[in-house]
Amino acid sequence: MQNIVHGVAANKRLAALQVGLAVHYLLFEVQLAHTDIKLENIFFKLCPRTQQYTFVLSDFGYVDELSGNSGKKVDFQHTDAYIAAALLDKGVRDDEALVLDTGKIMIFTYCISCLHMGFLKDIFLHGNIQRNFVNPEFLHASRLYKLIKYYTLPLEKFIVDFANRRSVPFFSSVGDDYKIEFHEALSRGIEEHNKLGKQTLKMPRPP
Amino acid sequence: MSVRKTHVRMGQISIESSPSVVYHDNMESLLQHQRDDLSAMANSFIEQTAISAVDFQEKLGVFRKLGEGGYGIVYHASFELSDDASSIPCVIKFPKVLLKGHDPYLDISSGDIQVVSSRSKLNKLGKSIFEQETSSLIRIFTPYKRRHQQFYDGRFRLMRTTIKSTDEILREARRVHSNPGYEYLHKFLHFEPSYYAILSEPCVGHLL
Repeated sequence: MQNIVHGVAANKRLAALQVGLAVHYLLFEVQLAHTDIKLENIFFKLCPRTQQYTFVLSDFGYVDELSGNSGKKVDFQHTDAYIAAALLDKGVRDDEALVLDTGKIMIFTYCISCLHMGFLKDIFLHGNIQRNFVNPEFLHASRLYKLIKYYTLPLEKFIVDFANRRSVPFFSSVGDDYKIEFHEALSRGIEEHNKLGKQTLKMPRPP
Repeated sequence: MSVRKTHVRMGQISIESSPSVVYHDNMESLLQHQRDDLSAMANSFIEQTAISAVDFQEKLGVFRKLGEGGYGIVYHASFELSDDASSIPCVIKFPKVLLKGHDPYLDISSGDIQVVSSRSKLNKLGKSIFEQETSSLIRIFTPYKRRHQQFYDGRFRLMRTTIKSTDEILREARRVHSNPGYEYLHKFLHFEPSYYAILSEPCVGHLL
């Protein structure tokens, strides 16, 4: 069943957009950052009536509050293999780090859209794809981003636009701007998806 | 077993006894989601209700593993509803520390929950992480109730609510539930403090 999901481009695009909407809700409706976003935590359901997939973000054991105080320093919760580079540098969590971590969803969903899943699994679980990518730093979001740009086609324009708007790492500072950029990028992606006429998605609310 | 169920209808609260409520408010919301009317919203205010550990154990069937995270292990499961003997598919999440290690507290290899250690050990291992996870879920799915509930004896309970505040909550609930992103969160159905387990809506699999 999972192969079916991975093999259909429309489902990959759908996963990216639907999980993007879930992240949008968490960030702007309840001011929380999901700090453990990874492929294992994106579940999918199949509607028996329409035979359409719905992708949902799961596992809320690691969520952190966006306090608005970037100087706040407390222990950060995460899954080791998926930690963002900025968090390794800081060693502690603050709002900037939380938003950086949330930015990983764009990376992962982009991978869902563009990369062969076995390729992705090898990167994360074994790090043994090619000699150039054995470096442990490759696990960092910034390194992965470079790989994605090199290897993939721009199928998901909203993610590419989003990523290109900032130097790596994705959010150079935490402020209202990141909310607007995230919202605009996601909205553009949904607009393009809805033009296809299949499984129309609602537009996210402005932050 | 008699449990209390809180109904909210258009700004008024009535409390009545109901012997059959075994699952949390979001189950009602999910079942009635398609109706998109105020009754679905009202049902989202059903108080977390009590079910004995024995009842929970008898009604639950645990199947194959779905995934494993930092906090817990997730399994496909089914839960038998109270009166009509029908069962709903779901997934169940147990804290990892209760299932693994040299001296696990729970054994689910037979498809049922088997307690293989002491209750004190269960509480020591599971309580704090369970409360952390459940409080996050409450914050995410019912942020509007945050000011009106408190965690007590392993369960979230509504505090005394006035008609005015109920109206406010209903308006806020309607706004939150209509957020486009709400649909794409994996929704919980029931917290079970007896085993520190969380029942959630069914899924086919995950993306890795």
